[in-house]
Amino acid sequence: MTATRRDFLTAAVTAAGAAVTSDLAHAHQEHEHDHGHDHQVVPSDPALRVKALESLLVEKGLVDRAALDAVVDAYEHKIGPRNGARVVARAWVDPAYKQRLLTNATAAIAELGYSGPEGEQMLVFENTPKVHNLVVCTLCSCYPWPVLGLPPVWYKSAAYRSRAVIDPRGLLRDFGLQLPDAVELRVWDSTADLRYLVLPERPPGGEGLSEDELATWVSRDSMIGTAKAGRPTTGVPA
Amino acid sequence: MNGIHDMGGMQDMGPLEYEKDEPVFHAPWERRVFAIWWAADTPPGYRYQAEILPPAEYLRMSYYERMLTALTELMVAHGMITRAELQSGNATPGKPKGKLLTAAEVPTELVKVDSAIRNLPLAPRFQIGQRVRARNLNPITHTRLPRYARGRTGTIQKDHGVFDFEDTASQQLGEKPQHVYSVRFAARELWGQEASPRDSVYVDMWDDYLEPA
Repeated sequence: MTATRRDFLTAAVTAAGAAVTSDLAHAHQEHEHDHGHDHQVVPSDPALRVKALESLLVEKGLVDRAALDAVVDAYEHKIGPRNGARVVARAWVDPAYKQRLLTNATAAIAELGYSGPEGEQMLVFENTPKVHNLVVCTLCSCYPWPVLGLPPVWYKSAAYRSRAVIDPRGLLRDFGLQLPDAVELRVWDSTADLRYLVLPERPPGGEGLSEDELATWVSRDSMIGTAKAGRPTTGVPA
Repeated sequence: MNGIHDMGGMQDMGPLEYEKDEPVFHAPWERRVFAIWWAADTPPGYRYQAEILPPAEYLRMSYYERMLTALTELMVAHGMITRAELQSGNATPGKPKGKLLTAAEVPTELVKVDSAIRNLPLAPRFQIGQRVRARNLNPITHTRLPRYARGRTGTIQKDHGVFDFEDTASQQLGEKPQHVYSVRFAARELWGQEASPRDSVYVDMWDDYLEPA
């Protein structure tokens, strides 16, 4: 490593460190130089920091509170794994749709009304008795929002991101999924601008069910590849 | 950069903590920081700001704490806000550096397809089925080339088309559009003979990451 690189890294890390500790530094500075005023300490608690940031951005005309409320409402109540489950159920009952989903996923998903940020370029992979697919983002936490919503904490965790590529079978065992040795395992690392959805195998037992009923058999995890789809009462492994 | 965020293949990073019936957000402030991040008109570079967090802090923080810190740093770095304003809580008068997203515009933005794919007639450097090697690159800035793949040999499985190059776009060093491919690496090529012969990892890679094998 050259001196220049080292200097750069030091500067970058110092700058980032300063950001993290700046609350404390500023508070100290105030104490030293600002005795004439009320004691103002920039809060370090994330809740207070977000509140301060939001107020400032509203005052500066950079965010609108009603817009923030609408975004939260959408991701809490409208954009979630039920969307992906409907896509999967449709593919299970409609072979022509399944074909479109596997060849042009973005357009096929949009047929059901799902599109938007983090779903602009979708790919769907089909699990079969011979091939199992598993999705991860080792560098970040990339995830197909329009069909699965925001990712769970475990998907964003160091434990999952590190292990999915080097020990996927052991990881799946921790999810309660024992993959037979004969099954080919494909791990998809979402490093670029493509986002992935797994089309789980249609489980036996739901032969007489409607498409809507079948959608309840599709868990979020089965569309990431950490579980199989199955009857809702027993289908979601811990 | 070879940062703590590049986690693929690291070991002993703790047990998997699975929460049943997990809520979308775990605290009201998480809702707000996500919504600000989503709605604010910020320039590229958010991920890089998260990647240069001090490693110990990166590991300690939750996802939304990292979002809060990286977003704040990005906004300060681009002059959208200042540290003085954050400290005082009072905005300095002036024209906002960024477009305001209104509540009326949110429904459209939620379903908008703002694809990164570029319809440019660029010839691909590699063909499907071709053997390629991931270059041994160690940039000190943002990259999407994970460490575990560098120097390893794989096969081009699919050509996704032409995309802006995130390595340069994120640093505001140009869009540098080029082909992105799905490259299949056998698990044994990445991790040695102990790995299952039936396992593989597929990595999406820009032209600039690859050379003929």
